[in-house]
Amino acid sequence: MGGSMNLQRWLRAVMGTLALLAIVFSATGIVVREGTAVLVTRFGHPLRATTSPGLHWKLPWPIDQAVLLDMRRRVYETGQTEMLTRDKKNVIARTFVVWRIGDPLTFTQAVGAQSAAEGKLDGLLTNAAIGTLGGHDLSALVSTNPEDLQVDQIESELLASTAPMALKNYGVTVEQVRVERLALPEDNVTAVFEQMRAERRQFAAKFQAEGDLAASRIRSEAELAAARIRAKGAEEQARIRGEGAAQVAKTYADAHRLDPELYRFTRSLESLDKLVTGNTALILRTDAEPFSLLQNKERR
Amino acid sequence: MPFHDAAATPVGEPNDEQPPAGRYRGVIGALLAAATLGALGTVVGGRAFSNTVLLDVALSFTIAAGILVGVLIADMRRHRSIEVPEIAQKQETAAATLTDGASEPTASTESAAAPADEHAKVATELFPDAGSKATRRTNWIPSLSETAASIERRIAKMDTLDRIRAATGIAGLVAAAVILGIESFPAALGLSATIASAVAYIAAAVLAAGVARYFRDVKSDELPEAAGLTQAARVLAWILLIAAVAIAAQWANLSSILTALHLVVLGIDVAVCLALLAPKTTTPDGVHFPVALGPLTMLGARANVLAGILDAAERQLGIDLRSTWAITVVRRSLEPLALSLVLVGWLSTSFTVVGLDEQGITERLGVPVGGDLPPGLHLHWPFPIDRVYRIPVQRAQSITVGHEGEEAPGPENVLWSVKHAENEFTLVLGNGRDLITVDAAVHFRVTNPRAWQYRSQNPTDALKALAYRAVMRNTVNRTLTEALSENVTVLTQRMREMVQRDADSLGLGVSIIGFTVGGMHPPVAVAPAYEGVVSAEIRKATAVVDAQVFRNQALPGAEAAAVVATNGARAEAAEALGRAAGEAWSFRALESQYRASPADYLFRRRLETMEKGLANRPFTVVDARFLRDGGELWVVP
Repeated sequence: MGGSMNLQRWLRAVMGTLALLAIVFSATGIVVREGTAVLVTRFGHPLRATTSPGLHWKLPWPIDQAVLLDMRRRVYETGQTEMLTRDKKNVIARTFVVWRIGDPLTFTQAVGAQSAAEGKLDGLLTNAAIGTLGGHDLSALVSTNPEDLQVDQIESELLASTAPMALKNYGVTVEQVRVERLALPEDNVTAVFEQMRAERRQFAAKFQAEGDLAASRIRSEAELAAARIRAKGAEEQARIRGEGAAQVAKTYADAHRLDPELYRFTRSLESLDKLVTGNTALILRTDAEPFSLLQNKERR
Repeated sequence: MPFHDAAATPVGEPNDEQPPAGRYRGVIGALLAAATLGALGTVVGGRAFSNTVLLDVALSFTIAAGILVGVLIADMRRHRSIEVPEIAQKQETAAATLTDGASEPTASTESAAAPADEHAKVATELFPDAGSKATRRTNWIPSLSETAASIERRIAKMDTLDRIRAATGIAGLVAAAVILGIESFPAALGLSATIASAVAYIAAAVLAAGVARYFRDVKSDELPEAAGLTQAARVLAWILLIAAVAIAAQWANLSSILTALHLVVLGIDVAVCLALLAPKTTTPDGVHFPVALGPLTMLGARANVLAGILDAAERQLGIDLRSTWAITVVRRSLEPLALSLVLVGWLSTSFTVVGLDEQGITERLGVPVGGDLPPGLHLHWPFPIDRVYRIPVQRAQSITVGHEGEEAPGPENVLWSVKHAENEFTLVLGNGRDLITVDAAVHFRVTNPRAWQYRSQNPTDALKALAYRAVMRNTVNRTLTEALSENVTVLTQRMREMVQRDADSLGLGVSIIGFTVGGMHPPVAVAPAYEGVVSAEIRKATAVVDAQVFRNQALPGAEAAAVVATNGARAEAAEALGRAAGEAWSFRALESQYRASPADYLFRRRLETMEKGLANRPFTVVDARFLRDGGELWVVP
C-alpha cells in the first residue's frame, strides 16, 4: 500500500514538473524550424527577426510575442485573366508566381498571412498582365513562326513590373513569373469550334468528291474497255464467219468445177425434190419419160 | 409527499423573515437570457464547425431556458399569492377539499399560493376519479377519437407550468431526433479558433459552476427550486466542459471521441426531456416547477459526477458501492494509471517507424540533424525536442495535367470524342485559331528529401504548374495538324527535360522520371468533325475499290463475250466448211458415177427423182398428141 502511494506521489511529481516545464517552455521558447523565421515583438514593437533554425527564447506573453513565418518558396497560380492584346484579340492567360517572404517585418505588418499575400499578388499580377500583354500582339504568345514568339520577354516584363512593388509594399520577393496556360474566352471558343468543324467538313467533302471522281473514272474506263473488247469480239466473229463462208464457197466451187453440167443437173434434182410438195398439181406429158411408154411407140 | 424538503416550511404565510417578492426573479431572468444567448451562440458555432456535440450543448441550453421560464413563472405566482391573502385563503379551502382527510396536512397545501381554480385543474389531472379508471380498465384499447379527446381534455386541464414542462420536453425530444439525423463532417479547425472556442466554453462552465454554488446557498423556503437549479447548473457545467473537449477533439481530428461525446450529451438531453414528460409524483402544488429531475439529481447531486452517481446507486440499490473492493481498487489506481498513460504516450513520441518507401529527416528543435533515416524503427528524443518527417523518396508519384476533377477508376479509354474528366482544358495553338486538348502526366521521384522539405512550401503544386507550362510552351508554336502528327516520344522527352530544368531552378529536389501524354487531340466538341474527315477519306478509298470491283467484273465479262462470239463464229465456219467439204466429196463421187455412163446416170437419176417426187401424190398425165395436134388444156384451180 505504501509503495503504491510512493509511486503515485512520484508520478504526480514527475507529471507536475513536466507540465510546469511544458508551460514555461511554451511561454518562453520558440522553435524555429529550417526554412522558417520568427519575428519577436515586445509590446507590439518589433524586437528582432531571425531565420537561423533552432531554439530561441522570448519573454512570456503579454510582454513578447512571436510570429512564425514560412520562408520557403511558394508557387501560386493566379486566376484566369481575360485581356486584349495589341492587335485587339481576346485571350485568357493564367500565370504562376514563385514567391517567398523577403522582408519578415514588412510582410507581417503589411500582409500578415500567406493567403492575404497571395491575394495581393494576384491583383498585382493581373494588373501587370493586362498592361504587358496589351503591348504585344497575340503572335508574341502563340505563333508558328518562332521569331514572333516572345514568351520569355513577356515573362521578364511581368517580373519586372511586379517584383519591386511586391517587395516594397508587401515584403514579398517575387522570383519568377511564368505564363502557365493560354486559352480563348468561352464565346470565342464556340466560334473557333464552329470554324474547326467547317474546316473539317471542307476536307470531308473534298475526300468525298475525290472518291466519287476516282470511282466514276474507274467505272467509265472499265465500261469503255469492256465495250472495246466486245466490239473487237464482234469484229473477229464477223471476220471468222466471212472467211468460213468464203472457204465453203471455194470448196463448193472447186468440186463443181469438175462438171458444171452435172452439178446443175443434181442441184436441179435436189431443188425439184424440195419444191414438189403434196399440194403441187403436176401435169405430165406422155412424151416424157417414163410416161412415154404409154404411147405404144416401138423400141428403137 | 412534498416535492422539496424545504416545502415543510410554510411560505404562504407572510412573516418578517419572508424574502422580498421577486428577490431571485432578476437572477433567474439573467440566467434565462444567458441560456438563450448560449443556445443561439452554440447553434451558430455548431453549424460553423459542423460539430454535433455543440448542437447537443445548444439543446442543453434550450432545455435550461425552458426550465428557467417555468421557475420564473412559478416564482411570480408564489409572490402574487402572498400579495393577495384572500386568494390564498380560497386556495387553502380548495386544497382542503382536494386532499384526503386522512392524509397528513402537507406544507404544500399550507403554503399553496396559486389560485383555487388552478388547484382544481391540477387536482383533476393528478387524481382522476375512480369511475373513469374503471371505464379505462374495461376498454383496454381506446379508439383514436377517444385518445384524441383524452389528450385534448388533458391539455385543457393542464396548468401553465405543466404546459411549459411538456412543451420543453417534447421540443427537446424533437430537436434531439433532428440532431441525431444530422450527418456531420467536422470542419478542420485552426489552432486559434480552437483555443478561443475551448476557452469560451471553459469560462461558461466556470460560470455554470458559480451558478450552482450560488443556488446551493439559497434556502429552499426562499426558492423551492434552488436545489434543483443547483443540480441542473452542475450538469450544465459538465456539459460545457465536454463541449470544450469536443472542440479539442475536432482540432485533433479524433472523430471517435467526438461521436462518443455526442452520444453522451445527447443522452443526457434526452433523459432530461423524458423526465420532464414523466407524470408528476409530487403533491398537487402548482407553484413549484419540477427542476429536480431524475437525471439531474443523479448527475448533479454533487460536484463530483462519479460521487453523485454512486450516491444515486446507493439510494436506489441500498448498497454502498464505495465500500466494495473493486471500486476501491479502481479509484486508487485511476490516477496513477492515467498519469502513466500520459507519460507513456509522451515517451512514445521517441519512436518513429520509417516506411519501406520513405526516408526520414530528424529535426532537433527545428534544426535538421544527422543523415537521412533509412526504413526501419528509429529512436530519438521525444516531442518537442525531436521531430521526424518522413518523405516518400522511393515512391514514383504522378501529377495529371490537362484537366481538373477525378478520372474514372480503372483503365482509361483515351477516345477523342469522350471526356477524360469533368473539366478539360483547351490550349490555343500556334495559328491562334485552333485549340487542342492535352491529357498528360508527370511522373517524378523525390531525390533530395531535404530540398523537397525545406526549399518549397508546395512542391507538388509547383511541379504541376511547371508541367502546364511545358505543355503550353510546346504547343504554342504548332498548328493542330503539326501537333497531332508530332512524334510523341520526342515531344514528351522535350517536355520532361523542360520540367526537370525548371524544377532544378526552383530546387525542388526531384527527378522527373517520365512525362507521358495520354491523349493529344482536338477538343471533344470538334473531335467528331475530325473523325468525320477520316471517315470521308475511308469512304473515298471505298468508292475507288468499289469502282475497281466493277472494272474487274466488266472487263473479263466483255472479254468473255468476245471470246464466245469469236469461237462461235469459228465453230459455225468450221461446220459450214465441213458440210461443204462433205458435199464436195459427194459431188465428186457422183461425178465419177456420171463419167462412167453419163446418159444412164442422168436417166436413172431423173427417174429416181420422179419416183420419189410422184410417189403418193396426185398428178395428171396429158397425152402428148393432144398438144401436138393443137389441143388446148385448161387448168382451172
